Amino acid sequence: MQLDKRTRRAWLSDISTGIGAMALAHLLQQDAAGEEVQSPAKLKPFDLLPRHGHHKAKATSMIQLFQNGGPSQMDLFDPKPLLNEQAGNPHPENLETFQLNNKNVLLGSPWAFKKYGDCGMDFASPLPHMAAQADQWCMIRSMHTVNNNHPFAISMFQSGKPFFGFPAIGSWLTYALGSENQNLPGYVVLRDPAGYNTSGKTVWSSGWMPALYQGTEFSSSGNAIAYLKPSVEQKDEVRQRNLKVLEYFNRKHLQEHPLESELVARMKNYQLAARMQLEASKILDLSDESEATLKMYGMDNPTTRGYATRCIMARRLIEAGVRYVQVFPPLKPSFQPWDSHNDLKNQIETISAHVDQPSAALVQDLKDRGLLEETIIVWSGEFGRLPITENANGRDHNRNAFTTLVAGGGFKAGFTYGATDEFGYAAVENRVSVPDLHATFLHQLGLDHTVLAYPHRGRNERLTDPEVTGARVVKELLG
Amino acid sequence: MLLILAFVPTVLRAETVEWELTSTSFQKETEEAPVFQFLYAEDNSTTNRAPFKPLPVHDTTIYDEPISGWSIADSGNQSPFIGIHTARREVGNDLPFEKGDILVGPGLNHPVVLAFKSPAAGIARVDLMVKHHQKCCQDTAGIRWFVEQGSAPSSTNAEPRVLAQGALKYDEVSQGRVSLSLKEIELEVDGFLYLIIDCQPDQPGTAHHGDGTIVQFSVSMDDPVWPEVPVFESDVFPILENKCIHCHGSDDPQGGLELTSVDKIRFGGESGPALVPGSPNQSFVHFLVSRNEMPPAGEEPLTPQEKQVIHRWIQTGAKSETPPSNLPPRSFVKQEVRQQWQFMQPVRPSLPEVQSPQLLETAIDSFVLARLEANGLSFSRFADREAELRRVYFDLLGLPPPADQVAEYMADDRPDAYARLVERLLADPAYGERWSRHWMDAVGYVDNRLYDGDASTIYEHEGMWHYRDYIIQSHNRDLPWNTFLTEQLAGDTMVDWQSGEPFTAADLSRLTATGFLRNVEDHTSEAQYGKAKRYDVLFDLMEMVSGSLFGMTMHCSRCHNHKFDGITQRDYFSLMAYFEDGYDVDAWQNPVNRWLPTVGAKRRAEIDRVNGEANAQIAMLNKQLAEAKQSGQEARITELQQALQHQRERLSSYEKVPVLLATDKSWESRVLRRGLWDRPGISVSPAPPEAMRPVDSAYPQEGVAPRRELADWLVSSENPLTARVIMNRVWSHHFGSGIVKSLNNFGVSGSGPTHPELLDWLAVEFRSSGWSLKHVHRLILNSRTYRQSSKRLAADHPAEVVDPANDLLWRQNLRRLESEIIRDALLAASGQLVNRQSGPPVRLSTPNDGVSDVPPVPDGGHLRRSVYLFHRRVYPLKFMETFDSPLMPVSCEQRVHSTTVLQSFALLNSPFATDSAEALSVRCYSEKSLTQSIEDVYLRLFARYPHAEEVEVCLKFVNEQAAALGGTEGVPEAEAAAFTELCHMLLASNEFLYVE
Repeated sequence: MQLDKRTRRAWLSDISTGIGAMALAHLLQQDAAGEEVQSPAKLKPFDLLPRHGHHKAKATSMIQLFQNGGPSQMDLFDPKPLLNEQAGNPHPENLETFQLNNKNVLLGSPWAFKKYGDCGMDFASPLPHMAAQADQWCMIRSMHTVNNNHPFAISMFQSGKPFFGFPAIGSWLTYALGSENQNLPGYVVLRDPAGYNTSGKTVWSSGWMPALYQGTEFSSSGNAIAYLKPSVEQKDEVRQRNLKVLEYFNRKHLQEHPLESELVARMKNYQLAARMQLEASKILDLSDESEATLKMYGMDNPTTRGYATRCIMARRLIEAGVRYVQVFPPLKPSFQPWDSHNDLKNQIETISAHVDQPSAALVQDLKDRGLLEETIIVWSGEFGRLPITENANGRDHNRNAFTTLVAGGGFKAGFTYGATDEFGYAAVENRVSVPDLHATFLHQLGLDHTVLAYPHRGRNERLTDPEVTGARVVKELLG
Repeated sequence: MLLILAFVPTVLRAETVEWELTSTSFQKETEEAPVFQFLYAEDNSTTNRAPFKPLPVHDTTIYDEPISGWSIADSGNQSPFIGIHTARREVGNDLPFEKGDILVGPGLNHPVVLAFKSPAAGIARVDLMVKHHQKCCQDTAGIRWFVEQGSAPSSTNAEPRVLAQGALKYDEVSQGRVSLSLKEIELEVDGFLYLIIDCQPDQPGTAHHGDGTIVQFSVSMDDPVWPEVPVFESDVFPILENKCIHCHGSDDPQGGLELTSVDKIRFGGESGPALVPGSPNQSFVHFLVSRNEMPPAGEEPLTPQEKQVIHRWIQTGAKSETPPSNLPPRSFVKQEVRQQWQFMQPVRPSLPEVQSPQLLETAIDSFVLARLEANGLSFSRFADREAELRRVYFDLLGLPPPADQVAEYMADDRPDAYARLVERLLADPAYGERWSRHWMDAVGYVDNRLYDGDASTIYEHEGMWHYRDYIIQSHNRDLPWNTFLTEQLAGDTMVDWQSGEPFTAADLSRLTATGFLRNVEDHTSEAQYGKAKRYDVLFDLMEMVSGSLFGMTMHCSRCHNHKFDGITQRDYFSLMAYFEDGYDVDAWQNPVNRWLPTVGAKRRAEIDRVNGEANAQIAMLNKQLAEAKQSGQEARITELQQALQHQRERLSSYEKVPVLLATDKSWESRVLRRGLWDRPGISVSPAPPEAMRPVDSAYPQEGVAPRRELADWLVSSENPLTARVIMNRVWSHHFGSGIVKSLNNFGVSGSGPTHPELLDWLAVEFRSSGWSLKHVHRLILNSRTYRQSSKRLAADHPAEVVDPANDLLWRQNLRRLESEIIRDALLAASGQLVNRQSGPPVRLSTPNDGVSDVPPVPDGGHLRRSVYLFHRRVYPLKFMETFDSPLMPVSCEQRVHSTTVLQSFALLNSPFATDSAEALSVRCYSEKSLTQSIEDVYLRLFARYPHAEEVEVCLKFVNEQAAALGGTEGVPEAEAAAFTELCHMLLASNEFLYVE
């Protein structure tokens, strides 16, 4: 059972005029968004209240369409004619491989490339919908990372460090900027309800930051959040009376322990829980979406439906003022869908069919709604793939080159940046590291990556560690 | 410490010297001129192979074997390679490889070349043994071998002189081996001998790099003529003067390093001593010039000849015409760092004078009160007796007081009622279950091995729970902390585990203790991971060890000297060297094999044998039984069933205990430059961090097992940190905040102690009590400081104005229960807790969506305390995770207590909370007296009686809720259901979650 608007209002008013003293009223009234804006420098108790960054932001929110496994850059985004010409011949160098089944034999790409949009951006045939959005994308072909094993490269892409236990970029953003909507978490994760992709929930861990800043998993079916609804169905009246008496117990306890702000926060959380139950359910309820919208995302197609649902939810969350949303690919046929060690052609075509249309629709939809300018969409894996052959017809991991697509958020649209060598093995021109990319995201969101810090174990930890990584804002990517 | 390099020159007679290939340890970065080099030829034509290229170090186990060595990757395979077997291994039936065997595997197109570069001139003899075992391929496969004398590997045109050659084939078993001596070989200084192993394929396209060839190769020389021993003044200084002195002279030398005399070089610069006579590898000056890092880029490097001179000069003892002075080598650690409080040995301070001595209960109070008084403050009043009872129960047992204890305690008016309570609880076995958890956090205890990346799959670390039980039992026995630490670090050195005899209980306990070192994630059982992953295990271990024992991270020092804390990179790798006997990267043990049977090796073999026989019999008998049943032979059936029963009775089992055992490490530990495993730098010996020990202390010590030495140092009176770190943790678990607030950062950049004298006093008192934790609990729990009320005062009260954060401890702190304790307390309060100690962990469900629970099991295991649940690195029980139960990327030295809306959902809606409310309601509800039922719930959850107003509100609530739930007032089912709702709201309330 859900609380409708009327009963919710009634309940809230009951809370604020009901049993007991009203000394707490002012403490309990700070829920509305935007009332108080703090600068990150003056963070006191950890909260999600919205605050300004270091400079004027171009973008206010971000959606990460993570493509884990490592999409093949030379088969999708980065045409290498020489690779097809030389297919079957050895690569002149000894390449860095990960698995043991590689042969030094160049593997040609099974697909033709075409130029799309006014900008003439290259896409291969498995991603026709994304190709049709060519004029919206900023394509970075010169990405590189530090590790060629999934868990560590994923960690790097998400947290800027190739090991576990550090906060994800979404945690950094919500820590620094809070969130516009106090009735929803600031950092939402949309994964396949069937389970987790590689590295599971460590991908959205807040590390040593408070749990407040970790990604909250929203399921696109069933309960949006763990324990969102009672395990036993309850009458509205029963629930409200329960919450009222709970409020009484907590207030009695608070009277014994005045000035303990944590107790107040906990009381407010029970109110937030009620509101979130409502809002989270609303995010799930796509019944007010138009036919055309649903169709554009591919909700009418069983293959795309799952990912489409998550992409629509992502848009709805962004509309609702959530700071950072992370969308994960399906678990079937593989929890690491872009990891094409074998049967590259079939594998890439399969996963492309799942994510291509919804990804493109999300870009179009945000643009139609005027939200694309202030929302960064990033479509990327953790690394790329090798030009040589693994097994009979697959490609092994490659940390030296991969392609990342970005749309919106003030990134140049219809723009291709950087280049790899003639076989696509390594980024050679205008190289962009993962920390560079992070620094650029932060910059667009109004944050200075050299300044944004969190003290931990005597060190001012930063997402990009610029002195170590040499991270820089890649201004060339920005419009 | 014995240093075994890649060659062992042995002086046989006064005038005979022998070089034997014994190891292929990685020395490539620093070895100036190794006697043996490992090369390969790009061209496999028999006549003109040169030039030879060095085989690069390859980071992979080769064919899943424990081999350490060199190889190149060729079309995805490791071929060719040369390596040393690091463990015994059988290939097929008749191909045993012994630990230490040098294995050579040529590739199809790449012969392996073993080069000997003579350090002396004379008449040499070569002893050679080649054994060929190429079992994997067809019988016609074989190898060819050549012994040649020639010029330097890089030269292309010199004609080699073939001294001997031959071929070996597997099918010719008697000829699968050749032993020979080649005599009268005339060698110059730096002359080369080559042993070339080439493969002979049975057919084109079959690369024979498989099970390979065992090689023994040695060169001896009678009356060798050595090149002259260099002397500093005449041979070395001219080189330095020419190329180095303009920066490293007496006038403001760069990096503080002056190269004008042997003493000055020994004394070193800012990076520490630059010369260790006799050991080029440990000498920084050699390290830098040999790698052309000095002179810096742009300046003229030393010639190969000049580098040779320096290498040889150091190797021959750094001779000088000037007698050496007794100047000690420079310390890495600045004096001001040494004088930081955390590196000074704690000294027992005298108790400070206070104005109100009547307030003092234990010595602790003097330190706290003195500071309060200095700030014009004093202690708060004592906590209420109910609050005190609940607090001490949760602090010591992690459980709420049973309802009947409340009345009993309130009625106990003996003056020492409280002290008696403390004693009783300290003796309760639940104490160990509660306090073990704190140490399990510090060491990162988990029951799964590998990285826990997949919510729905568990890789169990079999038997790890023995270590968890060891921690619990040690706490309950109040095992002296110094023994506790020593056993965990070096238990294997205290026990004769090699004999294979059954272990005594005490021995087994000590061996189990080394599970401490097995807590870190170890992926190396996976075939695709090579040496880099082995080092990752050591790096994680360093993080865990430094966090749990030193209360500080050494993470930064892996790659560079720690700016704040006076921990150098050399310290990091010197400390790591202690663990390299157990975690030997060159003789790596698969983690799934690192265990001992509880019954000892001999008994285990016997059990395995008997079980094998019995199981075979059982299989056979079962088959016969099925046949007999089919044909209905009654007598036969009975007979077979009896036989089966007999066989089943023969079966017995043992348990696996994960341990870390010392091996004979045969290589030098090294600094890894920039923290990278494949960038070895100067060599180091095991030693504790310099800042933490006296200037004149010498490590390593003779005749002490390395980890034992580390343990001895940790618990010695010279150690400044061990006792302070644990005292600070104990304090924080009693007050919610440490004397040093950053439990995980005792470093210079940490928060520093609020009461330094108190911390030192506790540290010294703890040691002199025989390292008894329970002694310290008594001191703290009986103190006035601890027994204060936690209540805040009016906002304008001086205490709130002067010290709102309560750093001075003018009150106790209000503390939220930890995740495990919330679960345990709910189980206990609702009367469901199953109290059973020890044993394998209780399984969690593993749903794909991560919302796990504890599935019910018939023996009630699902209702046991949380310490017995299966601990996962990443996916703890969902309910507990919501309340901040830690992820364990490595360990957790300090819990966070977040306040999130997800916790509200968990308490309102999770099945566990709902079930607990139901059980609590069933235990407490009585239709006869609702008031009494309410009282009972209050006692169970809050350890107090409800006030009149509360009873009234509860009664009204139950009545109204009963009506809403469908029954009319007074109908028992509806009232009971309403009472369940009441129980649920009470357990979801803040009063339950917090300890006064």
